[in-house]
This record gives sequence, structure tokens and C-alpha cells, in this order.
Amino acid sequence: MRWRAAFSLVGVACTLLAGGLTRADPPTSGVDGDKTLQAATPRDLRSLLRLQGDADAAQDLTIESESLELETLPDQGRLLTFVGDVRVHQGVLEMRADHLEAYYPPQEAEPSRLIARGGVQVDQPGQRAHCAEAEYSREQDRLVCRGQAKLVQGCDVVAGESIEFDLTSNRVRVIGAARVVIAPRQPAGDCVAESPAADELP
Amino acid sequence: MSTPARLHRDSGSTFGNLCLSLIGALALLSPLDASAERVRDEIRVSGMTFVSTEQTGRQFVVRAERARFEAGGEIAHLDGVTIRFSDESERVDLTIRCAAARFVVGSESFRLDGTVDGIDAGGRRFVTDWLEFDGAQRVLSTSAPVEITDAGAEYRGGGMRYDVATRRLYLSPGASMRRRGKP
Repeated sequence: MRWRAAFSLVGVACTLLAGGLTRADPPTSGVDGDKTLQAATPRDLRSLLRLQGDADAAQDLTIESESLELETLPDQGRLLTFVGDVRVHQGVLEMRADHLEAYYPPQEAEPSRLIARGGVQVDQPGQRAHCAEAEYSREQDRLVCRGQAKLVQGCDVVAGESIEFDLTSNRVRVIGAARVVIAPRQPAGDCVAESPAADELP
Repeated sequence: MSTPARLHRDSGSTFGNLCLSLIGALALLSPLDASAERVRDEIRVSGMTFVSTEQTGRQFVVRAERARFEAGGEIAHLDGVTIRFSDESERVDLTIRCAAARFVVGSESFRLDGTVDGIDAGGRRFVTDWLEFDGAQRVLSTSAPVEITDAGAEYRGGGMRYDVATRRLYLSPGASMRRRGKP
């Protein structure tokens, strides 16, 4: 599964997203927009949600849920459906959702498509991403978080109706009511995920 | 050398018209087949094969090294059991092995005991302590813990339900998947 790898690229992507933004003198600065935020030059969001993903392929992946359905499809592919309090662990990464589907093409050990629904939340130390639904496509190498999507690291936040991560080009698009908040540097641990800056965003 | 007893049932509207009744079969087989013997009111058979075929062509085959039929022939106690479920094209979907089973002939239902070990066409293997087959629903189920392994992962569940027709497998209550990291 590539959830972790996907989110690991968020940091890189957000450096692009942050184009032109500089740390503001006021304690918190915001960038609002109802259009798409697209890649530009990195600076202050350089570290935003920079997750440590690549090493995690070596980590065991575990998924727990209230129930699991394994279905062999007519094309001999497999569909795994985890339902109820789904928790994904890989290294320091944790993901929670109400529902998770993973489709495996025939004879393949890696899923080509993942869909998480309902209170999707991805955590690792100091960082959090959440949205209503997240879909990963291996063919497109793209992760899309829909529904009040928000990415938080420390006091820095990117939010929008939908956030798309193009994992090939390392670009991020925040679509619909896009907002970026960059907070001044805080001592480590002071502002992780539950910060006022994070809370003030939808 | 004994000749294995072979019982065959073709399914009609649901599970089939009985082509050869078990009791009748045993009555016929007993005097002819050296592998079957009557002990008091029980009938003991070596090398039993029971075949159930639906109209669709799907079938399951129960094989046992030894079978002991209770009086009346409705219930059989089997040892050294192998059961194969196959689809319309006779491709084996699922093979299950276990030490012992209790087989109810009329309903084509059974309970398997003693380290039940199954493998499906995709190479997915499961192990559990016991497993029941509901002949009416065509569903295998257990409330005992289940461990499943395939090429990529290990799965555990507090119980299992497998629909033979749809090939859907449910693990609950409580389910987990573990995939080992790449070295």
C-alpha cells in the first residue's frame, strides 16, 4: 500500500504549493482563495507535512477493522473491504477511516486502487491530514482527498474542498475554497495539528 | 482390494433430485462392496465419495478415508476428509481437508473438525478449528478464530463466513491484515 509513500510526497509537493509565500510578520498569515492553488516556488511551506515515507516500505503494514470482506472478482482480481473503525499502521504512520477498499489486479500483491471513506485521518508525529474521502490510483499515481481536506504540520495548514497529490510530478492542487496558513516558528510540539491556526480553517 | 463406495446426487430446483438414495446405495453396496460392512446398526465404509451437483453444474465432492453411518443412514461420521467445491466449468474453487467430519446426508450439510485447512483457487489458505457448511445456503462458516495466508499477506478474523457461489469471504467479528515489509 502506498498511503505512506503518497503522503510522504506531500512535503515536497507543498513546497511547490507555497510558491511566492513568505513568512509574514503577523503571528499568522493566511492565503484564501476559491480557485485552485497550483505549484510554484517553495519557501515557508517547505517543511509542511514533509512525511518520512520512503523508508516505510520496509515496515510491516497492518490494517485492523471490525470486519473484512475478501472477494475474488470475475477478472480474478481481488477486492478487500475493511469496514468499521479501520486503522492502518505502518511504521509511525497511522490512518483511520470508517471504510477502506483495496483492489488488487490479478496476480499482483500491490493494490492498484485504494479508497478510504468516512473521517479519513492520516497521522504521524507532528503531522496530520484529514478529509471525508481519499482515493489513490496507482495507474495515475495520484492521491485525491475530498471533502474538507486539510493538511497540518505544526501550526501550518493547507485546506480546501479537495486536495490532489500528483505523485509523479510532485505537485499538489488545492481545489475549492483553498486556504493556506503559515504560522511563525513554534517550539516543537507546541502547535501540532490542534493549533488555533489549524482550527480556524474549515 | 476394496472398491470405494461412490454416491452421487444431482441437484434439481435447489440441490437436486436424488438419483441414488444413500440408504439405497448402501443397501446395494453392502453385499457387493467389500469396503462396506454392517456393524450392529451402523454401516462402515472405506473410501467413500459423495458428489452433489447443482443444475448450474457447480458441485462439491466429499471424500473420506472412512465413513460410519448411523442407523438410518442419515448421518455419517467421516475420518480423513477432503472436500472440493468446483464451479460450472469444473474448475476447483476450494479444497478443504480435516481430520473428522459429521455429514448430514439429507441436507448436504456438514461440520468439519480437527484443524480444518482450506485453500482456494487463488492460493489463499485458511486454517481454523472447525467449520460448518450449510447445504441450503451454500455457506461455510465458523465462529472460531481464523488465520488466512496468501502470497502477500496474513489475515486474521474472530470468525469467518464464505459464500461458495459468490466466492466472498467475510472475517468478523474483528479482522486484521498484516503484510510484511520489504527487506
